[in-house]
Amino acid sequence: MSLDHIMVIAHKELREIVTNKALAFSGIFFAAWFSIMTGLGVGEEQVARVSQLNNSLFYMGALIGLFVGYIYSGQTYLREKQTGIVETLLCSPVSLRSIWIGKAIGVAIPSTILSLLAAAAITALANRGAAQAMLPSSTVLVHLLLVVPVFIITAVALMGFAQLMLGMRENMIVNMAAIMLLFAALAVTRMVVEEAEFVTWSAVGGLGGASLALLAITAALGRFLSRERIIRTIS
Amino acid sequence: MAVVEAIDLTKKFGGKHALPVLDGINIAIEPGEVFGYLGPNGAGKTTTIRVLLGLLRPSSGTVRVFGEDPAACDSLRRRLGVLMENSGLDDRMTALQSLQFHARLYGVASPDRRIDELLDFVGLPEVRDKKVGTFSTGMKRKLGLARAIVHDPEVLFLDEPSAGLDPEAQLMVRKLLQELAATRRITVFLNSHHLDEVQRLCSRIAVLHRGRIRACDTIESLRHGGAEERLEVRLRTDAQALQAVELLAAPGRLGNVVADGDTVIARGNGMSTPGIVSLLVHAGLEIEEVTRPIKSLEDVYFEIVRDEGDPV
Repeated sequence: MSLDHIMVIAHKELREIVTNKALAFSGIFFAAWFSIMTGLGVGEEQVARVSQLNNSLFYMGALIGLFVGYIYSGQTYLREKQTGIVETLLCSPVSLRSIWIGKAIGVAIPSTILSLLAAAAITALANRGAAQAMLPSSTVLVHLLLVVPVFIITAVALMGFAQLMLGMRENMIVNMAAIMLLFAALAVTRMVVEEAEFVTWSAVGGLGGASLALLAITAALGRFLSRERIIRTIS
Repeated sequence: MAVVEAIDLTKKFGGKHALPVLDGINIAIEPGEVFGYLGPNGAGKTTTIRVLLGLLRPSSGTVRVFGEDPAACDSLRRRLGVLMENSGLDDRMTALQSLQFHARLYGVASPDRRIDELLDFVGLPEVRDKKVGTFSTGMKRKLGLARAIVHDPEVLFLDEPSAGLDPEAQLMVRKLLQELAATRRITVFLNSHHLDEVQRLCSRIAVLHRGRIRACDTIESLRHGGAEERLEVRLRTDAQALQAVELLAAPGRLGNVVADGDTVIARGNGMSTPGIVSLLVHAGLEIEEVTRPIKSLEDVYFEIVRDEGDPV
């Protein structure tokens, strides 16, 4: 595995997402939509508002990043597989892990940035008409800046793994299931954020630990990647 | 030493009892050789290329490229260039970005100069900043070729480089390949079912049908039907042809002579053509025409694939 190769691939994916207006816009649109809906959903009463803001940021930071990562990874892994571009990449001297990780980094960077911008937008909208400015708690800030990026890159790498290894029909089924799960998660989140503040250090640490464990499992999955499997599931 | 080698290569998809897609393939390609791999659709040509590139693992047998297992050695691919049927280009990138990306992946030193050279070589310098998605199929194939050789590979694998191109674009791609083989002394493995393309480019060919190599030789040898030579002498009448057969089949002369109407068909090397003509003339026979027919590559190809009883 070569860092140079990973960076070349990550740079290419990042540039494609940024310069492709339709693709970039779809990510921005969903991030903006969810942040507006969430920000406007924060209630009027001051004490409840603080806990609602922190709860919203805790969940939505990760979910928006996950959703945007899902949109971008489809273009990065699946489209290249469908069009056969990935076969040319597999013929290059780049290891399979470098291709996989490079693409995951290229997708995770814009997804994380949009997730942080969405968190800022939620905070700004929650502060509308407030006499006293509300800011996220330090636990939520640590969560957004440290845990969410790890969570997003892990999720993107897992989605990329599935898209590379599964056939087109299986990918279609998984994609539909993923969309339904994401929307279910968003609906549950809206109910949960109404409750009392629960964003404690142990919650953040727990999610951080879970993300790291998932990252380790994802990294271990890398050994099951195979050129043969990818080629045989291209068509 | 062979640059690309397959020994008893078999590839099956599915279980143990699945029919092999490739069955006992033996190939040895020498340095600098332009090797044509012919076969109808579904014969197993692309599967062979994929196994030789290490994208698929053989079910049995051995594959060696520069003496190494291509499936186990990523760095080996630095010495190989590949142009698959779909050109492998991203429509969203410009021609320049596409070549830059691949040059970086292969660690090309001074990529900018190399890219300028290649864009000139394939005749696309004026569209370097245009998106690949706006290119015609022919332009994509030319850019794909430039991409495949951006790192100056020692062996180039081409999978149907002329597929889907109009005759003019086919000619352009063929000229590029001829120039490449002549000036850069690159070893080429060319998958194709364009007989004309193979005949013009390749020094040696293999014909693949139903996963097995049915013939592998130089084009000249295949066209001459191996060691056996054939001579056709047309005489004035059928009766004279029968008389000629009697004369030529006499002991010590030709062993395999038959008459087909007014024509005598002689096979084998027992007598020279002037000797046969002289014998017939001295016997008072009237010769209308003497031909030593050479099969076209098309004849050879169809003989091989039709032997299997398949419609082609």
